[in-house]
Amino acid sequence: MPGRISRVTGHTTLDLVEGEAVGADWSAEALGVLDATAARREPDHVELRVELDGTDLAGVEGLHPHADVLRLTPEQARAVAEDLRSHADRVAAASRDPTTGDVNAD
Amino acid sequence: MPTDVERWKEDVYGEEIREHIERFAKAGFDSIPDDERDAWFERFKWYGLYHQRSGQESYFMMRIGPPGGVLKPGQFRAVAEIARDFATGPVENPEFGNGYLDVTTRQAIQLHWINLEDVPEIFDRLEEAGLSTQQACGDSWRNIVGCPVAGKDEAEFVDARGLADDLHDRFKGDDAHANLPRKWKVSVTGCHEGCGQGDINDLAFEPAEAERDGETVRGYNVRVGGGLARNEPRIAKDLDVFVTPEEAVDVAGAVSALFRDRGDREDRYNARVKFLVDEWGIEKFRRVLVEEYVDGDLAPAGRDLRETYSYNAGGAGAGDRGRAEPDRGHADHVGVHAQANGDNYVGLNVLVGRIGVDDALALADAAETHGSGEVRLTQRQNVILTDVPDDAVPDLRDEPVLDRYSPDPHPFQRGSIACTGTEFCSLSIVETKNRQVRFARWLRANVDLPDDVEDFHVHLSGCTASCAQPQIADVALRGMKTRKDGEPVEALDIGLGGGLGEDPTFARWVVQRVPVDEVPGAIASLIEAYAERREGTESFREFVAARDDEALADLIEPAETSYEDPFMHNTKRTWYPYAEEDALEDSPAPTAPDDTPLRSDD
Ligand code: HEM
Ligand code: SF4
Repeated sequence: MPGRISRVTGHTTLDLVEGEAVGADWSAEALGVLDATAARREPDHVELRVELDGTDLAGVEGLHPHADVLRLTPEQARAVAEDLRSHADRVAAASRDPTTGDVNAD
Repeated sequence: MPTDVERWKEDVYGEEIREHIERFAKAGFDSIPDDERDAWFERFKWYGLYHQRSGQESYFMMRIGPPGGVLKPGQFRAVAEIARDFATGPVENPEFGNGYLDVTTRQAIQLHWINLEDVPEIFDRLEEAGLSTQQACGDSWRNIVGCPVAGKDEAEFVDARGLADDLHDRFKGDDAHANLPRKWKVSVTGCHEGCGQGDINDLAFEPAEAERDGETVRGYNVRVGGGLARNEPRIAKDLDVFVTPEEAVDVAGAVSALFRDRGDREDRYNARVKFLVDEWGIEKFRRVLVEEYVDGDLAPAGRDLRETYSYNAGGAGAGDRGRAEPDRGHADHVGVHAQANGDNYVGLNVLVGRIGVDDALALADAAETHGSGEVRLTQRQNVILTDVPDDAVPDLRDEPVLDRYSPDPHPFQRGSIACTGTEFCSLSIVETKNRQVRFARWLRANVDLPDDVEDFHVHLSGCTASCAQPQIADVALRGMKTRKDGEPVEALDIGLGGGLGEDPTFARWVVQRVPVDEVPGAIASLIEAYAERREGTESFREFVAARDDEALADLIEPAETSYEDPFMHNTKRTWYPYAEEDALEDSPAPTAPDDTPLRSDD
């Protein structure tokens, strides 16, 4: 059953993100959910979780609905955040309209 | 280091919270220091007060939980008057106006837009009426649910009312059970229909009989570990224990104590008892219970009535077994039904559980004029007026307020349940109640169910917490987001074929992220396929059970129709989805009780 594995609520970091599952000789486009969080009590790691929609991946043989969960140390989480920020800046700059300076948001 | 919540609970918890509420109420909302707000709001929940979501600061939701959903004569009116006087906000709801009360799936009433300054007076008025908000929230015994017509229904097996009241009296406010690892949901059922919905509760008492000293005695079997939350639904497991009504309270205390001591306090997400049952298995759970928490042994389970369970069972439940009337058991309480004493109880359909204050007062009048004045609340978000004599039934039916709250509603309206949603709930991803009203209206006007199908349940929850119990509906809807024409829009995952009954099944989620404006079209296509292809009188639930996910997904064709959805625009990001100016920065909150902003400078 392609039900969701992850909890998805108003607190989820991104309830709608575009992505793709990629294998050696296949790939499948999918919408997904991304969440960054840490336990409420005695947090000892940052959890970064990605789940691509099971229905979008239903056509891929042998691929069952699942979520991928990464456990990051605070240092690793910061490294990810830094990289995300610097790449975000580059992407935003590249899509800036050269005449107005506005980001072409879509 | 304990979690914040555990730490706050150690500082101040239980009844002493009341004096702090009174203190802050007197000094005004702004007297709560900014850096203490989270802690205080967490504690207020013990008194049934939930601070509303961001954009609605200074407003509270208040929950009033009568055990088993039974409101004695006069109590419903008292709540309706409180709603009229205090539950009004800065902006009205386009469907329900300003001033309404919500009947919930746990047989409670919720009021919104409550200002802290008004709370002491509300508490006084509730107490005068014999009602309380105490411990309706927080990590403790939640409102005990159960047969709302206990003590009245002519086909009742055991009178569940007595036990629900005993449990309520014994454990609400009992310090030894006031601070559990997580919420504790208890259900008591005494009927052939299974309307206590024990299977989705942490602890359930279910009607049964067993031999004692050569005699057949009636009482309860015990089940543990059900629940729908956290996207990991569980059906309660049979603990293989039979108790008489007299023994039930002690056993409930023992199970609650076991959970208190052994439940997971480290991780709130893993804290509900269903996860302890997962970890231990039900045999170990029973063994530890017997060895460490009860005196002597426990009797094995008796003969139950589960094969007749029909409540929320998707039409796949009872035949006429055990029924006084030769019809099949009912799937809800709506309609006119005989009581044991010759009077009738009249179940009225409340769309998505919400009643405007004028209607609520009219219903209170009707209950007093034609019945005993009692109003009872059901787990399908409906109300029941009890003790209506035969000759008063026609007059009751003629009451104008019954046009909207009908004892004979259309299946799509009868079957609709929706949770709170983005209107007030910070966990929600989508708008729910107004949308579900519009869905039901559209389906009624545009879709034909087969003539013999009287029940068709559509439950809409705004997120995976599942407060609207989507997993036990024919059609389960759950909030998500998708992209349509390049824009992010509210969307719903669709699940099919859930239901309780003898062998509960959870809905199977077969399609994801259907844009909300295409959902009615999707349901229409599905029902059309069902009507065409069902075998004989096959119920929808059976129809779903006979097909695999792929086949079901093929029957769902999302499509735009004449249905229009005014709330597609990411209502999560509004301060109030129905406000003219709905952006967060347009919120007037926090406000004084007259809804004027407290801080005009920021
Ligand atoms: C601000 C937060 C929350 C609000 C306002 C809220 C509200 C409600 C309401 C209104 C109901 C009754 C449903 C109805 O008839 O409308 C309910 C029941 C329920 N809640 Fe919540 N809820 C909240 C958080 C949660 C969370 C975090 C969970 C799960 C971890 C949860 C799980 C449930 C479940 C499973 C039910 C219904 C099923 C049952 O009867 O056991 N809720 N809640
Ligand atoms: S199901 Fe989610 S959105 Fe609905 S009331 Fe519960 S927590 Fe809120």
